[in-house]
Amino acid sequence: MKKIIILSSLAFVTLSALGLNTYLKNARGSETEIIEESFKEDREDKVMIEEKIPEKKPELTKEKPQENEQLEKKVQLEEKQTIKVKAEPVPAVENKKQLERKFDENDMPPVEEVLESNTADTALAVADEKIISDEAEVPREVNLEHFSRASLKQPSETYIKKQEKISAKVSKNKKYKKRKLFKK
Amino acid sequence: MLSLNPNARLLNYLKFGGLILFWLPITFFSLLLFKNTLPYFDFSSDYPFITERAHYFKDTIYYTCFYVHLAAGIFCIAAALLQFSSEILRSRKKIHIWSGRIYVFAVLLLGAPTGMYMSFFAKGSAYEKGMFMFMAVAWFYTTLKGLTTILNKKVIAHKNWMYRSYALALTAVTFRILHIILYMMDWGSQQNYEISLWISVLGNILVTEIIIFRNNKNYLKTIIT
Repeated sequence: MKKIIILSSLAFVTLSALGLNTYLKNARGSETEIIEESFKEDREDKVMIEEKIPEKKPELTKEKPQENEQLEKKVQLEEKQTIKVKAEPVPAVENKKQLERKFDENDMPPVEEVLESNTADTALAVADEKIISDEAEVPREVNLEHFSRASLKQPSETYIKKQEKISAKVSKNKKYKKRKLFKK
Repeated sequence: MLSLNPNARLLNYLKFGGLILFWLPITFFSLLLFKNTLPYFDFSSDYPFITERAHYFKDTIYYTCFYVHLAAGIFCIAAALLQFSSEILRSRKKIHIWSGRIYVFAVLLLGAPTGMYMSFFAKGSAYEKGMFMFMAVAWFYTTLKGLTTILNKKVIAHKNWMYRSYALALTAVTFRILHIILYMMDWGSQQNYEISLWISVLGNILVTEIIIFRNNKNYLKTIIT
């Protein structure tokens, strides 16, 4: 009987260990399968995208060698141009004060033009045109500065009006309370 | 002939009726389970249990464990049916001893270890897997206790531990009964499976503990010995 007890306990322990081992293996296997599947899906998606967007390069034909050469040259030129564009350094943003000064100087139209104009309206129109043209010439970075966070954070007119109304109400209430207190 | 007073006679009748009511469905459903598990030994994969777990059946250990567990279950349930008859125990003790040996051998060497292996791949959540693991461990422990107590000639303790062991073996039967009842009540398959499993295991344990508690003056002693 002792042999049966020892054998049975051994069988129980070994089978439970084996079960745990295979269970853990399966769990790991399923995890790796999931990861592999996700990778596969990613790859498939990429292939799909590549298939959907064909390259716009001109096709070369065997029948017309002259045209082919011309096309090759064109492609090479285009590539060179794109490389040049990419290689050009991005112009650094100038000092803000300098830019502001420039604007101040340029905002005013030349004196000759103002003198030539008979009326003040025409002079203003000329000045406006000058400003618009100058703004068009200003680099993009500078224009973007007008819309910086600081400018956006400034409260709107409606907001200011509302605040004023609220403050007026509060002050009225205070006055009313004070009156009441005095009456008492 | 001993003449019994009418009250005692009525009590005897009630006891007999209760025993029949208790053992008749158990015997019937045990034999039904016996009949339903035999076809699995044609080793075909057309059964829903096998088709559900087809990827596990590729593993040779799981495959052998399954068939060994089935065979052990059949032997356990068939042998255990003879064990609780006081008539057999009195007049034909050898039958009790040999069927007991078959039961213990089937549980300790075959049923519980294979059940433990299969519990890792049981249907349901981690709780259900845990429940099957608990069942395997408890089945092994209670049967081992039943064996060691009778080897030490502690008959009452042996009886109590064997009750516990049989209660765990019988969960296979009660689970199927509950599964059928809940199926007829239109429960979802997953819910039905989980609830019938929990009720069958906990219910069987509770019923046996009540029986042991009623039969023994010192209940705690039955757990220690």
